[in-house]
Parts: sequence; structure tokens; C-alpha cells
Amino acid sequence: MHLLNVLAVAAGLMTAAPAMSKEEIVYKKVSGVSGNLNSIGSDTLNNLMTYWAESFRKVYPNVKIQVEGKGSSTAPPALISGIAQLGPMSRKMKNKEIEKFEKEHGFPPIKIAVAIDSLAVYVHKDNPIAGMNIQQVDAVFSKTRQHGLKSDIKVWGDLGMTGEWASRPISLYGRNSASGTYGFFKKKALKKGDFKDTVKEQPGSASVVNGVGGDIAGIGYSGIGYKTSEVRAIPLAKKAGQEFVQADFDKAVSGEYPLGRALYIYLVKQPGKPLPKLTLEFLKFVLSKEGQKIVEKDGYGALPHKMLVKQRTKIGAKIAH
Amino acid sequence: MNQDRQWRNANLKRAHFFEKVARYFITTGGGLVIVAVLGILFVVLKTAVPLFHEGDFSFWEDNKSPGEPVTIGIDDYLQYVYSFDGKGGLSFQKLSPAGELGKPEFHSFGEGTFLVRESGKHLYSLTDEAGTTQLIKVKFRSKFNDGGQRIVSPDVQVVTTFEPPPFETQNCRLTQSSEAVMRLCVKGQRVYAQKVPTGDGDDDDFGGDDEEEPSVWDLSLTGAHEAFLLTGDGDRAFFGGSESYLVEVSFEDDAEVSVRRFKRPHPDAKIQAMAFLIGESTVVTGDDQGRIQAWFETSGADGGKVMTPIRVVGQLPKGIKTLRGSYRDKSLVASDESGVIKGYFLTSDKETFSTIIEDEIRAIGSAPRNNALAVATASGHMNFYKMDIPHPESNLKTLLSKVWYENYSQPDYVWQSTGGSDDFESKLSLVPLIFGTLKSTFYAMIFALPISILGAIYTSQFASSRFRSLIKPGVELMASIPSVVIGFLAALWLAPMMEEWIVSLGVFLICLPLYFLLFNTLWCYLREWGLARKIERGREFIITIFVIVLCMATSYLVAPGIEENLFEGSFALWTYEVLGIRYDQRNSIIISLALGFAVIPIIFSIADDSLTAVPGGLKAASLALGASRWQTVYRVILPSASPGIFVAAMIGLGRAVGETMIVLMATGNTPIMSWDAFSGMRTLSANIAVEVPEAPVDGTLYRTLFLCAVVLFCMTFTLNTLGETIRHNLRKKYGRF
Repeated sequence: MHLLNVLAVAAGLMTAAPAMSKEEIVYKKVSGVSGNLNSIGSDTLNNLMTYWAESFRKVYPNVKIQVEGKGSSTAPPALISGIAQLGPMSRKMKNKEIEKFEKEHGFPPIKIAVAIDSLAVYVHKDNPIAGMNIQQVDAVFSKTRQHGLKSDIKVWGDLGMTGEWASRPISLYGRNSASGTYGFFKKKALKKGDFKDTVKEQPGSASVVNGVGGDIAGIGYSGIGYKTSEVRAIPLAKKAGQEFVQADFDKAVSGEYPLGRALYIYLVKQPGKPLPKLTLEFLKFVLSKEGQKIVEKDGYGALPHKMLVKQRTKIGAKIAH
Repeated sequence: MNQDRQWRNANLKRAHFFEKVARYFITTGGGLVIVAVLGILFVVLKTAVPLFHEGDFSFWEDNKSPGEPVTIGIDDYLQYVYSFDGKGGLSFQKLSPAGELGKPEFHSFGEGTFLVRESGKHLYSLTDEAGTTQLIKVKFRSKFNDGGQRIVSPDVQVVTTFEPPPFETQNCRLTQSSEAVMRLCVKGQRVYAQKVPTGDGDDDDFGGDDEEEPSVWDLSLTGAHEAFLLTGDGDRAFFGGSESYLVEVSFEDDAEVSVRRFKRPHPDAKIQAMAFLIGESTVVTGDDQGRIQAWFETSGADGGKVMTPIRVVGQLPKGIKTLRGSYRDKSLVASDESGVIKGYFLTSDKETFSTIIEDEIRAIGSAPRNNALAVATASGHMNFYKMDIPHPESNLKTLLSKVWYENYSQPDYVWQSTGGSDDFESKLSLVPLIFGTLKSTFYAMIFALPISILGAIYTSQFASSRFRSLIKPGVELMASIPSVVIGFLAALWLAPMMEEWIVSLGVFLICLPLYFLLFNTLWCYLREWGLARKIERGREFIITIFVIVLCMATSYLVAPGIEENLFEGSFALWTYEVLGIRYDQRNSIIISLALGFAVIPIIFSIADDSLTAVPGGLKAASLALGASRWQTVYRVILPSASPGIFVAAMIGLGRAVGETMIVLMATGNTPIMSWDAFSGMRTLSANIAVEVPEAPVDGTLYRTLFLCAVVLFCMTFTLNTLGETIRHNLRKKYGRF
């Protein structure tokens, strides 16, 4: 009996332990939140920011939030000049941007991961290709081929496709250089190499998907959230010979899918001083169960619990139960 | 009567007065417009011109050196200078704004003599005589006091320590990346490398934390290797010395080390110094003859990557003593045994600064932001220099001629302004953009010019006036369609459709003139018969509609058969296989139609106006003398309206050059240099629109985009001036009518 009790307690502890660490972080309304918030930055995060802003305003009707999203590179200048308090970015800031920021403010910006995204390589929905490895993706998009594939890939036949596909030239779609997606893809998939001149630069993620959807020979990259019925996200492998992995957020976080990334909001936070109340509350909301639900609703991945807690400590938000 | 005259006089006076006012008003307005245009040009030029400034390099301050430094470092804000001596000591000294050094704070990492090597920004590896290597990180913390002033406090940390290698050597180097630390020791031909994965990458760099075992390599390399380099991630090492090869050892594959040798262009010289440029894809070697040689990987004969000697970056009088790559951009600082110090920038192949020190150089340190240089000499001095070289990556050569960029197989014109990382080499050649602008204009004009000018001739000279009063406002209405809409339609509706019907379009273009020839011949006979004669002059075009429809029907029906038999089922594939031209969905034909559509109303409207403005008497006289309608138009009307038509074409051309939204949306903005009709282009104007939002204000890209604007301005300005001059001459010639 005694032994059984101990076992039961042990079992209880074992089930309780993970539950404790995964306790949901529920957003709690506080008093005295009002004013204006400006957000300037990433186009990828644009919808998400708008949804967050809408739901946040349901909690605090006196708050006004403007969201502008033209590309991640627009965030640092806006934060530096003080036009915006929030700088959503789909890539990390470059050293030069941080340097400029520091020159103005005297301290570096802080970077808060707010959602998980995964880039997908899209092809036309009728394209039967099974998958590609990163070296092939590199050789398709890049003229310098930093991943080391020896020959260029110009037609679908170079990827092992047969029949009418064998001699069909690959038509490339990509993002404009202001976008973090462009930079991220260049860094990860092209290993910092250069894009081919024939990559058609599209002003938005949706137009990349549109372009590929309307072009049977098309291939392009965009966030997984932009997938439509006209295109297919192809599974990728990290190395030749490895198994293809379908783009999904768990696989992205674990690193099995090679093109996973975090999406960020950059903030101006003086070291040792708390964030302005409105900004803090907004981020607490974003980094709460409610905020992360919106993330999933918009087609991105919610942060794993561990990361969520880490981000919250960065902004100085206690985890209130 | 008198009253009437008085009233008329008053009226006249008033009219004169208003006329005067209006004249002044218009003159001032016109003047203001000119001033505004010049003002804009001035602002644009003011932003673009600093691109060509050489920058400043000047002596700052002479200090006494603490001990005998072997390496020098400076913090980001020019507040601290630190130097390692060869005896395990590190001293920090405050740097005053005047360039004077304060009292040293001393740290010690052991006794004896040490070999100090720089392994990264503020990162050093120290190896003692026994072969123990320490990786030392120098940190600077910024704080602000109540007055808002920055207070920097230095700190050092021993990141990791490696025990001595199995043989006695001091020639070691330790590097660190987010995934691993690696140490490489060399003695004679023996190379001993250890890699220890750390697995503590950034929390949001996914998948970086697979636990890996430490790896050890012990190998023998033939030849002498006085100098060597190791990449931050420990994947590759480069060795150089008196051997006639540059040796690359790759540790990327844990099981197998690959050693490759690349022939050096000057095998008689001995490599004395080596350095990476930021990004670690360019290796710079300095030899005992003062030559500084840059190497990077290019595609070899089999398509694989091979290290290639690219160019001699510089030549110093004596053997190279130190080489240092910047952690900010593709610049490097080199010094030689005779005390010459020079700065170079790889991309632009530019010498950024130069100075001579009448003393033996012991160590050189440059500030992370490339704004200061410290030189320690054998006689115990530490001299500081101030630098301000804002745009080293830009000169006329990088903007207008072929440049051999990192990892490219040959020099090329490239526009690729940004990358996702700091070590990206910007490629800012204006040539593909100017080319794209000319290409889009050319294709737009071959569609728009014939249609609008012939159309204007028809409506003004042949068509009935009622028809003209319908058509002209109709065409002008086209101009009111926003160009975004045209661009959007062209990109998402026209482009996919064109891909499907490209053969039909070809057939249509061939059919149309044939059908018209046929129709006209027929019409001559039909005119003889009574019924056809009843069709009013100026209304014949109604019948031609049937011809066009018939032509469309033919091309619709015939095209699939032609595509099947002549082009093996798919035109796009056929062009690629047979002509080697890739059919791109966003191509010049789309631009031709879309941009042409935007330009047609302008050309048509002005041409029509100038044709109608030809005095009716001329036409009547010509017809009365027995000339036919066509003869009248061709010989009389057209010459006298030619200045106007020319202006119409020029204004249309100007619009096509500067048009942004349509090209932005309907082309892929691909900076390629090929005239073929099945590929796209990237124009100056679209490029400015695409890139300005991300360009850091006053950065090189920003100024280059303003330079694009200047080029664009010059192009339209030349076109308009040329147009105006020719019009003037034409008017003189034909003005007598």
C-alpha cells in the first residue's frame, strides 16, 4: 500500500512537472493603458501586427495603433528616428543597423521573437517534383552556388524530372531586396551567395505566390503563411540523400526543416529602465496565450513555451498566474 | 457715341491691365517651375556627389606606447585602446577625445612569451611556450550617466583554454563560432587540429544544438607553412609560405580531411602575412616582395569551387609585415617592412589611404568602424590617425565597368545591392539599369509610335469629324487610367495569357498586313461597283474592323496547329531548346503593350493636335490642284505638322523612360543585359522605387539611388532638349507654310 502510494505520488509528480512548466500565460488587463503606438517594418509580419493591434484594442479601446509594413529594412530607421515604438522584422538586424541605432540611442535595440515562420519553396500546383535538397535550391536560385553543387540548374530536367518537364526552363520568382525574406533566403538557402539576375523580384510575398501559381514552370520562395491552392510547397532536405521534410513549424524549430526562422519585434529599451507601459502591455499581450493564438490563426507557428518565457523575461514581464 | 467710345476705351484698358497681370503671372509661374526643377536637380546632385569623395585620413596624436605591444585594438566608440604584449599581458588605456592615452590598466594571462593572434572582432588567441592556447574576448559595456554621456567600461574574459598539442609548438590559432571552437597548431609539416562543438547558438537559430563529439585531426602537410588562417567556424584553413602553392585544408567533413593546392601567380615570393576579408571568402596574402594578392573561390573547369588568384590589390616597396581585414566592410590595412601603411578596398580596387612611418612598425590596430588607426613602433610610440572614408566601395569603375566580385567566375556588370548579412559585398553597377531603361523604352516605342502617329493621321485627316470627336476624347481617357492599374493587369492578367497565346500574337502580326493588302486590292475593285461607293468617305474603317476580326479568328484557329507542328508543342520550350532564349512570363512584349498603352494617349493627342492645326487652306489648295487625299497628307500635311509630331514622340519617349509603376509591376525587375524580347529588365526608375525604402539614409546605396535619379534626369533632359532643338529646326524649315 505504502509502495503504491509512493508510486502514485511519483506518477503524479511526473505528470505535474511538465504541466507546470507549460502553464498557460494568460493576458491580464491592467489599468491606465492608453495612447498611441506606431509599428513600422516587415511586410511578412504586417497581417499579424494588424490582428494583434485589433485584438489589443478590444482590451484597451483608448489605444491607437498604426501599422505600416513595407519591408524589414524600414524598421531600423523608424526606430532610430523615434517614429515607431515597434519594429517588426522578419530577419535579425545587421550590425550596421545596430550601430546606427546605438549611435542615436546609446544602447542596442532589444530583439523579441514573437512567432515562428518557415519559408517554403513553392512550385506550380501541377508540378510533380517530389522534393529538393538545399544544394539544388541553391543551384536553382544562385549564380555563385555557395553550397557547392558543381553545375547550374536551369531546366526542370536538371532536377531529375522527365517527360515534358525535362527541357522546361525554370522560371524564378523572389522577393525584393528590402524584405527580410530575401535576406534570410539568401543567407540560409544561398549560403550568402548571389541571386541569379533572372529572379523576378516581386514587391510582396503574395505576389510571389501569385506569380508561381500562374506560371507552370515557376518556382519561388515565401513564408508558409502565404500558401494558396494554386501552388505547392515542396518538401526540402538539408543534404543530398537525406529524407525530404515538409515545411511545418515543429520541424522548423527542431531544425529538421532547413528554412525555419523566428519573426521579431525590435524595441527601444533603455538598459535598466522598464519599457513604456503601452509598449510593454502590447508585447505582454503578443507573448501571451491570446497573442500566440492569433499567430496560429494567421498561419504562423506559436513560440514554444521555453522561448516564450525567455522573451518575456527580456521585456521584463513577470509571468503572472 | 462718345459714351460708347469711353466705355470701349475703359474696356480696352481693363483688358490691357489683365493681359499684363496674366503675363507677369505666367512668366513668374514658368520661372518658378524652372527654379523648382533646378532645385530638385540640385538636391538630388547634392546627395549623389559625396559618393565620389575620396575621404579624409589625417594624423591625430602621438603617444607613448605602453610596453611593447604586438597587437592593438580599439573599441567602437574610440574610448579605449588595448594592447597585448608578447608576455601574456593586456593593458587597457582610456583614449581622450584629443587622442591622448590615459593610465594603463593591466591584466595578465600568464608568464613567459606568448604568441598573440587575432581571431575575430575583439577576440584573440594567446599561446604560451608550452602550447597552451587561451581564447580571450575583450568586451566593452556602454552605460550612460545622468548627463547622457556614454561611459564605456572594458572587461576581459577567457572564453576557453586548450591544452598543449602532442608536440611542442607555439604556432597555434584558436577561433570560435556559434557552434564550435577550433584550434589549429602547426609545426613544420605537422598540423594538429581540435574542434569542440559548443552547441550554444542563439536561441532562435533553429536546429543548432545537436550534440556532437569533439574531433581531432593530426596530419602532415608537405612544404613550409609560415602563415596560416582558420575560418571562424573552423571548417577551412589556408596555409601559405615559401611553397609555390596556397594550400586549403577543409575540415568540413569530419571523417575525411581534404587538402587542395592552388598554384600561386608569383611562386618565387614567400608569403609572410595572410588575412581574411569580412565574410571569410576572400583570402589576402602578402609576400616578401611587397605584393598583396587577393584570392577567392570561383567555378573551376568541372564546375567545382577553386581558390583563384584574383588580382594584386597593392604593391608596397618592401616585404609585407602586417595585413588586417576590416570587420565592417571589404577593406584592409597593410604595412611593410619600410614603414609604409596603406588602406585598400577590394570591390572598388581603390587605395583608400596611405602614410609612411620613419620607424619600424610593431603593430597596427584599426577601429571597428574604420574611423581610426593606431600604429605602435619599435621606438615606443603609439600614433593615432583619424579616418573618414564614407564610400570606399564606390567609384566610377564599380558604377560603370565590369567588376570581379567575390565568388564570381569572371568580372561582370551586376546590380545586387543588399544581402541578409553584414559581410555582403554590394554590387552597384548602373549599367544593367541604364540598359533596362533603354530596353523598356525601345520596346514600348516600337509598339506605341506607329499606332499613335498613324492613328492620329487617320483621325485628323481621313476620318469624319463626328468620328474624330468620339475617338479623340476616348483615347485621351486612356491616359487617365492609373499606371498601377495598367501594371497590375499586365502582370496578373496579360502575362499568363500572353504565355498561352504568344504564337497567336505572332500569327496575328504576320496576318494583319497581308490581310490588309488583300483587302485593299479587293477594295479597289469593289469601289468600281455601285454599292460600295455608297459608303461615305471617312467611314471605310468600319469595314476594316471585319478584317481585323477575321485576322484574329485566323490566328486563334491556326496558332495551336502551328505551335504543335512548328514549335514541337510548346513555343516557350522551343525558344529555349533551339534559340537558347528563355521565354520569361514577365517579358518585353508585356512591357511593350503595357507601357505602350500608357504612352499612346500622349503621343496620339499631341500628334493629332498638330495635324489638325495645319491651316485648312493648305489642304484645300492641295486637293484643288488635283492631289489625292494620301498625296495631300504625305506631301503637305505631314511636313508642316512634323515639328508637332516629333514633339509628341519625344514627350512619349520621356514618359516611357521615367514610367515606374508599370515596369515595377509587370517586369520581374530582373537586372539582365539582353535585348531579346522574351526576357524582362530592371529600369532605373523601378529600381529607385524598389530600393529606396530600405536604403540607410546617406549610405552608399542611398546615394547610388540618387545617382540613378541624376542619370534618369539627364536622360529625359537630353531627350527633351534634343526634341526641342530638332523641333525648332523643323519649324524653321517648314514654318513657311
